Amino acid sequence: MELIQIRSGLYLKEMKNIEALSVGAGISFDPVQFDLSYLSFIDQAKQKGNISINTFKSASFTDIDYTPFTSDRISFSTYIHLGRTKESLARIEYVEMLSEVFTASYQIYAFRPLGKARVRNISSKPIDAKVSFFISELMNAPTETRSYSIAPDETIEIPFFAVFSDLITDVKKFSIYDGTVYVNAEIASDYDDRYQTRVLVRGRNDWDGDVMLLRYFVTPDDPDVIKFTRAILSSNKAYLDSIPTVMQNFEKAKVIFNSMAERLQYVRDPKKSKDFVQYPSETIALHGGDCDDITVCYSSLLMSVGISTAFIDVIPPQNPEDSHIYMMFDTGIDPKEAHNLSENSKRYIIRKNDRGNETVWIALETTAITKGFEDAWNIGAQAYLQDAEINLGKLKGWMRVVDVQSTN
Amino acid sequence: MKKTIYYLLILTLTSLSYGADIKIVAVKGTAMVRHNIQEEWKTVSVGDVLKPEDSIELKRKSSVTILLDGMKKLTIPEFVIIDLSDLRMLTQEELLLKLAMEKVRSVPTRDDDGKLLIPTTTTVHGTNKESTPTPQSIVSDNGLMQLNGTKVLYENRFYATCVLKAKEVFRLNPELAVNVETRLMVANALEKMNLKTEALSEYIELSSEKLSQTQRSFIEHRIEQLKTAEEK
Repeated sequence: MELIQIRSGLYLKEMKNIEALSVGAGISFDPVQFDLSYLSFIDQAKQKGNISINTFKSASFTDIDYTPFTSDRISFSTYIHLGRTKESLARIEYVEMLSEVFTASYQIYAFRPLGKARVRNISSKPIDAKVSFFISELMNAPTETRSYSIAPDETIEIPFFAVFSDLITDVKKFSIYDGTVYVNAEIASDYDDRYQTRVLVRGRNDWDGDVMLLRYFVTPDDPDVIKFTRAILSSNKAYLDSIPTVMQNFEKAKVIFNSMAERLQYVRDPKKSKDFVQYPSETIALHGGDCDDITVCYSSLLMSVGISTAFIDVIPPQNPEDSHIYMMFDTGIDPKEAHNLSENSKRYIIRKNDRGNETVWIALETTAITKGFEDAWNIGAQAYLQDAEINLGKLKGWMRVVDVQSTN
Repeated sequence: MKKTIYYLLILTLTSLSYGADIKIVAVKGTAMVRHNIQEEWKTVSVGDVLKPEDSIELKRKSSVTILLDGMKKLTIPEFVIIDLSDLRMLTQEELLLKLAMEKVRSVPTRDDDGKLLIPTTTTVHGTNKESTPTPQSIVSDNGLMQLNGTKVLYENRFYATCVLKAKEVFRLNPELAVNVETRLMVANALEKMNLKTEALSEYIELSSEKLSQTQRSFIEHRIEQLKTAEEK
């Protein structure tokens, strides 16, 4: 339902005497509109049956609906709008979708363009056009762009975004949805043009291989994750109580890793595929996962006890197919206390934490989970030494360290 | 042209001095090696072949001569620890990137504004260990030997790795950061790398330290000269 209208009116003779009253109401359901009205004459009694043919002939009237001989009446009318009468000011020439939608990181599409629309000003004056995008099943409302000024006959590309609702997390597998792109060149008016497009939406476990987006799978606030770490820390309480404060984070990380090693199994991914990642609760429930799953799970577990983590993404330039992800965590230890961990500074990394303080970080190869913490540390430290220091991977851009911050 | 030759020379030296094995050709006294990320030191002998990921340690009254890539001989003096991966030339760009990376993280820092963070995390409450005494910071032989290693790097024109290693040693051993001579060496190494702005910052920072009259007048002179050069 779009609109309800209520009307009333007076009919005057020579702007002096009131001859009739009218009231009416209308309701419209685009494109249909219904009207109901009632017309009543004040002096109608004199007119009924008393009018001669000569009087009628001599009367001059121009409106067949309203004459001195019209009786009171109720009228009901229906209108159907068969076509748009609004003159379009802008036209969408084409729409290009820039990426698929990855459900796990759906929040990013509010800031990263999902697509772009090529819009032409088809009017003879400059316009301010906005583009909006909508998928009815996955969004609460269309997401609108800012206003773009377009000169007459000019065509510009307008990137558009999408604010998805939580419903998108219910998408389990790769699906295709209909998306609609609108262009609107006037404030508070109907759209000028629309364009239907197909949108590919990946399932909740799909990942595009970008390490920056892997952190969206890290869920330290997940009850299953908290339950898991709480159980581990509680069962090691006596041991952890005996550890000096400076070593607390390190020992907690060690205890959690070794407990994880007892319960989870590393499963080598035969296809080396990077497109499926388990959420930590799934890895815990399934008692295992591949490289990405274990790294995401361990990162979540550490973050659930307040330990910061970072992913290390390595794509060797000679063999990009051997790309690999491992991780590091913040021991919270001041660099001048690093000797508590090791005399060999190649076993740790000094870097800033999320508060801007330099602390000692430990690199871990999480796929070595079955070998225990010490071996995972050895392998991680060696890998970092080779990748970052010997081969200068970070400088050359084929190695990245991405801090993980909770996105939940 | 001059600049091109400089970079070509550096690239050549980089490839010559790196990526290959390092051979021990002479040992006097006690020389030790620590392989890769291992903790323990082992004695080295003439003929041993080391890798860039290894470290070498020279006790007092000891020295070792190594052959880099079968071409360049280098003698490491007593009381020094040196990471063999530092025996290489880095370009000015690589040094700048390394220095910048130490300051910048891959994501913006959270704006905590100094507020108390209430963790939404699992916590096991137990004995308060805050009172546990932490070891007193003392100038360790390890730190001093590493600092001496930076001098070896400087003397052998490995200016970039000299700067980076010195900064790392200062972070691990803050008590060594007051060593004016080494910091002057770092500033000078930056100048040698033609990083005048960075060198100027080092000298300005140094000028607020406790200095001898000679050191102060030298630093003031360098600051003045670098500022003049910057203005030009």
